[in-house]
Amino acid sequence: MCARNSSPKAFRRAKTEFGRIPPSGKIASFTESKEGFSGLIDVGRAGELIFGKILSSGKPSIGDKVRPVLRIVSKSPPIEYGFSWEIE
Amino acid sequence: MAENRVFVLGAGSSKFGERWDFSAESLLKEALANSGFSGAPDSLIVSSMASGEFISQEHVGAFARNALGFPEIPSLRVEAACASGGVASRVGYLSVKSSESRVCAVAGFEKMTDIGADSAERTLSLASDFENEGRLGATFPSLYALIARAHISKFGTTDEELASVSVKNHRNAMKNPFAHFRKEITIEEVLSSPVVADPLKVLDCAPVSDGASIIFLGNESAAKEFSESPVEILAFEQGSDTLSLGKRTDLTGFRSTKTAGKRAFERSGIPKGKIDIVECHDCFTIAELLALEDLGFFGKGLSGRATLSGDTSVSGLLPVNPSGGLKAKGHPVGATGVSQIAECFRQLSGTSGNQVNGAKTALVHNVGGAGATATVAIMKGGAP
Repeated sequence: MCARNSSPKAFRRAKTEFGRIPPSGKIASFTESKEGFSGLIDVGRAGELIFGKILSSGKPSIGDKVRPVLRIVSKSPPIEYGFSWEIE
Repeated sequence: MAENRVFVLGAGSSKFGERWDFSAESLLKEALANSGFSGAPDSLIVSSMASGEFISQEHVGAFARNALGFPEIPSLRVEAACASGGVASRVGYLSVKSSESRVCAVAGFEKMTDIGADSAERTLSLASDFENEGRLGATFPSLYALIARAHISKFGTTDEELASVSVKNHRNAMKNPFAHFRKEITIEEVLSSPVVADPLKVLDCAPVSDGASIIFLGNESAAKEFSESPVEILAFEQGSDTLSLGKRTDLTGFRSTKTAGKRAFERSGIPKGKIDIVECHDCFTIAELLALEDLGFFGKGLSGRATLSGDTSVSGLLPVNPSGGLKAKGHPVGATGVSQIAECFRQLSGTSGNQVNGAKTALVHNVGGAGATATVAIMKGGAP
């Protein structure tokens, strides 16, 4: 991850929070809006589903396996990072 | 010290809708005038979710007190997202119950259409877990769509069943003079309306509205002094769930509703089978189905079928949202929970525009966020 050009706040967040890349998981639920697909991902930790954008050319299904991909959520300072999920 | 019984002495609402030509102050005055209540409250609780964002006004307790023309009584703002009105009403209930107040006014308002739709959507999304969900693009339509998808996957709920909630509530709003939408719609129209967040379409979603509501709560002596048809609040409970949808172990129900409902039934002594009317939080069609299941009126996965078959219509087994609900009556966030109490007051005193014949008891359910907060009140008509 490169936080070199971002603000100290984003750099801290990137180091502490998203420095821990979540494992691959399965789609627990999903929706489609004008922004594309998004969903809750079950990464196998009890009581923890991770919300994120799902990168898929077609309609996904509950149970599809996905892996995390780092992305920039906001380009305007402070730059913020998050994960999208890519169908495996 | 003995706890007081608590009564609704009077209630009023402004018309809900896109009220561009009226200020928040005017809407509050309109609600007060429609209440017809002439007593003097000794305290005021105000419900507004985001008046700073919507109308650039904080210090809302003082703002509303001045708008309503009340003297220098204590005033307090309560915020709990879309459950602000329910929680504010509960604070007022506890104030009378504990003898802090003899007559407490609870006023809720929101003026949402002065800012654009995108700004309104972002403001509302601040009530989600913004760090983990809202910041990453989640909006309330998308969060409730995730719930709907899980419900569909687990129980086989159909799009027609979801749509039937909206059709029923629009039909009910035809008789509510305060409703935002007084227009009947069909299942076909719901299904063919534009998708907002699949499987939820535009006509599955409550609107952004302007509006205000006010209720007056009082103890037994105040009820005898100020009201010819007081309605008692037998129980008013609040439950909680995680702020983040992702922290839940089950996406197809709200622990907040289950907890508040269970406590309310226990404290009121009224069993589920004796409830004549339900006003519940249908911010999206799936939300009404969840509420009816979480409150125990229908088994899990069965409320959609019941709605489609007419069991929750005004003439059905359990009339649900005779006011039109949030979907058609409108959803000015801070006013919503207060307006639900106001509608049940009208129902139980026999003055509703969409009167349920012979109704003696009512349950009111209000939700904040994606179920992080819920309140449930059980009310009963009849003189003290």
